[in-house]
Amino acid sequence: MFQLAVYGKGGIGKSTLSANISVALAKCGMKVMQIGCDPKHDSTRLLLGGRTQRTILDYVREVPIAQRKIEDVIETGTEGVMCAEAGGPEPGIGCAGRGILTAFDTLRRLGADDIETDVRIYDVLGDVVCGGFAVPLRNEYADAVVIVTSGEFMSMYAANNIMRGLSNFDAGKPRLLGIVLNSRGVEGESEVVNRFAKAAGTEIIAEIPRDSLFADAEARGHTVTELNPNSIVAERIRIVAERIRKANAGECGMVTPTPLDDDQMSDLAAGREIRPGSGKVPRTSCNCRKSIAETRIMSSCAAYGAMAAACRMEDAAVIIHGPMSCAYLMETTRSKALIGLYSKGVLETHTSGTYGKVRCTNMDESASIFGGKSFLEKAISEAIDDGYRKIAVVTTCMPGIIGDDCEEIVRGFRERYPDIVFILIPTDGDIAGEYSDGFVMAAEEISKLIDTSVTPEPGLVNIVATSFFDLQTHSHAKALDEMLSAFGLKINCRFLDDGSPERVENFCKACTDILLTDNRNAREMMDIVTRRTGRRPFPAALPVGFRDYVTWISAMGKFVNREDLARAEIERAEKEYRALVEKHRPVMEGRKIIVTWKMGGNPDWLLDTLNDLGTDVVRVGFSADSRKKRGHPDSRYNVTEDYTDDMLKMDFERFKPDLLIGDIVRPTPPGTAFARLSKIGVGYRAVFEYVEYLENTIRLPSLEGWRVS
Amino acid sequence: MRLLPDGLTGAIMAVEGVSDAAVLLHGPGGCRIRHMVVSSAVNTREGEGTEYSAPYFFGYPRVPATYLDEQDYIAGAYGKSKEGLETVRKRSPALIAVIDSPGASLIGDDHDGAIKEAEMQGIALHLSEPGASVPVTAAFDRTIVRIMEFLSPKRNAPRPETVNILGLSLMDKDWKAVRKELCGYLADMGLTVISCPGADSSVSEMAESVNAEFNIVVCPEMCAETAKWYEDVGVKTIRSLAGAPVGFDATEAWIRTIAEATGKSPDVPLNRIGESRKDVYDKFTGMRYNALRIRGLTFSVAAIASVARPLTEWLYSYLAMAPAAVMCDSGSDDTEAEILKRFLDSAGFGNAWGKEPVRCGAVFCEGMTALSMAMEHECDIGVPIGYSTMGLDDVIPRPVYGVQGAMYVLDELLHGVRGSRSHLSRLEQPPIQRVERNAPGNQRNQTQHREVQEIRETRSPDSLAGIRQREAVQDCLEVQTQIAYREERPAQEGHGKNDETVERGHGRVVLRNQRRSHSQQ
Repeated sequence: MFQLAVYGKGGIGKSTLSANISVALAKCGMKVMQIGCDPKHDSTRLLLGGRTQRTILDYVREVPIAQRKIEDVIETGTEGVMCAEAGGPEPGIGCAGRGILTAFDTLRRLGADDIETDVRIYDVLGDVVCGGFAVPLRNEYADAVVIVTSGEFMSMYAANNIMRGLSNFDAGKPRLLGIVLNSRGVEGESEVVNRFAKAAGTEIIAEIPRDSLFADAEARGHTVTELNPNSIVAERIRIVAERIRKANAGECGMVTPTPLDDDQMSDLAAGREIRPGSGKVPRTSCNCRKSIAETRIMSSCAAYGAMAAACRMEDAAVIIHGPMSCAYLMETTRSKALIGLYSKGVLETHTSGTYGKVRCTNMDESASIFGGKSFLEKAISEAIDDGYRKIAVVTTCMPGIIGDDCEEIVRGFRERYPDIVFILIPTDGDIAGEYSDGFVMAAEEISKLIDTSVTPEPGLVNIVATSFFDLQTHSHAKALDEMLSAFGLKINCRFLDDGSPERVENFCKACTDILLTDNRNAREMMDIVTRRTGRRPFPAALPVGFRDYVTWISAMGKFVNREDLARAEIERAEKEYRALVEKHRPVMEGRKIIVTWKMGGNPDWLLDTLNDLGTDVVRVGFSADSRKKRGHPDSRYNVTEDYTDDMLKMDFERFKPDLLIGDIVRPTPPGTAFARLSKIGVGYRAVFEYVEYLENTIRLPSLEGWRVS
Repeated sequence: MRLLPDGLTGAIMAVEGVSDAAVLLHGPGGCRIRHMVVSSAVNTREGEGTEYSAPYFFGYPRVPATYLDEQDYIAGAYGKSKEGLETVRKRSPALIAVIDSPGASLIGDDHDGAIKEAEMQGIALHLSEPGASVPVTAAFDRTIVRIMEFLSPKRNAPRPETVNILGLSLMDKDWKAVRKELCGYLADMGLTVISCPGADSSVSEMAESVNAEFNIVVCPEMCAETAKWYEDVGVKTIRSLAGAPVGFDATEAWIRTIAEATGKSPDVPLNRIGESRKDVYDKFTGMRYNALRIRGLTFSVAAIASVARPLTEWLYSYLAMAPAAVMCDSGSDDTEAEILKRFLDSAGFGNAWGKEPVRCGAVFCEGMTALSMAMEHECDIGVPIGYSTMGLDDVIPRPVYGVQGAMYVLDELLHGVRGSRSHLSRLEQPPIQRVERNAPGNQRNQTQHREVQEIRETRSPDSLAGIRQREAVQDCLEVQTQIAYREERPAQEGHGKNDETVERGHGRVVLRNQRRSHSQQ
């Protein structure tokens, strides 16, 4: 089977010419199949007496897989030409390229390749706009390509782009049969197209005259070749058909085109002599990466972060606009963490909820082609019917790529349901970044629920953070309560952990906002709050370790005008801290330790404590997390940046440390124990719980028995 | 709405289930991470140490990915596809399958071209079928077929008394224990297993599998196309009419079906199952108060039909539990679903059909929903039977299939009614709901229910008074149960001593189902 792809600018007459060529080939006794690859699905109309046929994509949408048959999508037209139409979405909706991919896949699966065919003609939409439309150009489909153009510049521009696309897929095998000039009556048309063809290294196969016969035949739903076989038009069509026949028989050559560069196209447009090209083929996908080395490695997507943040809103339904897998993969991970915390008794009540709260639009193949509007509308309507008065929509890659206008859809619901809060978080999967990016996007939207007219009340504070893992045990939460209650303070809202509508709306009831953890993500959260409320945050994040504790207590003493209380507390804490240091020093003193981390955050609380305990910290190494191209450590200490696995191995040999402390589990040599660096809570007592863990780690076997077997 | 995996997971896990194959996931990191973690956790491969710091792997051995981002969606990522293939090849897999994420499938990167350019046509294939929101079972099935087509082995030396096990996957909870148990039964019958496509068989084993005499189906939805593919090359299919081997009854039926088709004796495996039945009988008899608390418990099941059906029938007949909601997941076998529906109708629980899990005593479904419902007091006992937990946290196997599956279900129920499962002990705050809210005599039952609750709240399990209170509670519950289900439940639970009764009871169901199935044909 010889496969031919006919390309050209939209409206240039590809379908008309393709149908005429099909008839001409069929009249020569060849078995011909014509497949229209244009969403407007009129390629085969002239072969079917002016009737449009059911498209493959409509068929796929309407008929279950098990009931599909090849004869339902291939009809027989003039001269026995087999006709199929891929079809596609309405302009501006969905992804027509994906439609082409699906249509081809469907034909293959239904056994189209098993139908005896001499020539298969693909009549393809104007330009190679995306991978889907390039499918017929690929080696496994098109043995030859014919480009249809007129003498109009934009038509030749499109033809040139098609040549670029062709050169992208050519693996050393010439496939351009030539150009068919479909005349539009432009002055000097033949001459300009000839110049273009020559410069591109090809030729005009045939010049089809502008003729009213086309219009007459079209009005009757037939081809000129069929109705006027003795016309000049039919004669030229036969020339094209003959060239195809010869190419199939290997009797004529094809070329690899040399598409014109921008300067050459300018010469062509200006009527100047076309200057010599660079000799290099300009690739259409010039921005396509050759390597993963240029990629920001994101192990999660922004949609997940947005979903996790939106789920904090107790009374909200969260709709994932995307395929089922997105919601499943995200929600399973989130729920697993929540259930774990709940089972440990960390969460007092399961305020975030899981069952029934997260929904999915379940976008499928048809949605990827025809758009996901109806899917999203249905999911929102169901959430409304289920009684939700706050609905968040998070978008994944699929709607992002096909361009679903979710803003418009949500706007429509806002107008119809003014009493319902709709929050759109257009993360588009990982297009907006990774987890933390999506989390911040969602937080920005949720912060709009804060009522800024609420008057602050003394004695209340807010805690702000992305993650409240710092408070993941009752003892840590109790430590925080003690710190606050010493100054007569209580927590008003834990933003974004506490998503009850009253607490978020009454956020401004608190007299100040305190950062839970001093890291980049938490600071971004605080920036969001600050932008919304217009008030300055408390100057110090909640402390971890003794030094920060002293600073924080001093600051809070000033804030509430009780510096006397602060001084007394610092004096008391210092005594306790010194006693704890002396208690643990015997085990820790002189131990060689490497500290390494990459997840961000500031480990100074640990380094301070290790210093106080008399340990020998031989290396503090940091390797950037994936979020930014290059991160920098937040630390007062001398930190080795870009600390690699190889550097760590060298340090093992050089220092023979007793202990490696890291936030990522790493293998250690015999004699070196590994301790996990994680969030420990607030205050200074939590540090000594961690020190006890370090002591035990050193005393325990460095290699567990299960690793040996 | 329950959130279930779809075709993306089905395709990835099918390839990951080929012991020496590798997936190259063409998609974002977010689509990789859970598959990467689960695949390693449920099926660690020998020699997978920590030396995976290469690009595409980034420290983890499984499901390397191209980490697509916005620029790739715009400009295409052909280069990454080719480079990724070449990187994965260095690990010497016998087969590499390129799988597109839903987003990647939209941009249409030419993986076939990349495979060709990298000269890997012999070991690499592109699985082009879109998986977005396609049932996970169908995608798994189709992927196995695509791999077999790619391998295109020839049936040149059929081996008598050999079989393949179809429809078992890494996604099945504690699949390894299931495989071991089922292979053990088959060995007892003198049958040798050549391959379990998608459940840790190698490429060479899959190639050899076409020489098997029979294929034995575990879960039909996972292997309908695969079985047909094998039939086309000459391997006959054995499928139990009782559905997947879930619960004692269906497991026994599964063995009998195989024995009948192969001409082998089922006695040894059936005796082994009989011993397990006896163990349960002894245990339940010894602690009958707790065992009786299961009787009359309402339950919800949501699963693929060939699992939901035997589980529902078994809970009803063996434990005298009352179906409150039974849902067959997308991709279910129509025949299995129809049989299940008719069973519910015939047992007087037709109103449970087609409902997502509701507030009830015990919920059997995929892990997250089961646990979430228990956590949110939507049920007293959440029993994960698939997908999202997949046995990740279990050292002692707790599968769904086979005798081990039956024991697991019984264990969860018994611990659940006693409140003795430590990690779930916080979850059993509301009293066990034994009566449907709209059941006849509801008002009276609710009054009694409140009384029961009051007694239970004051009980002290470690004291004599506590024991007496428990007995009083049990008596009340018995009365309630009898009132509610006098007309609707089997006269005796299947774990009673009289195994013959049980056999007859179940046999009646199977026969009826068989007749219906035949008549439908």
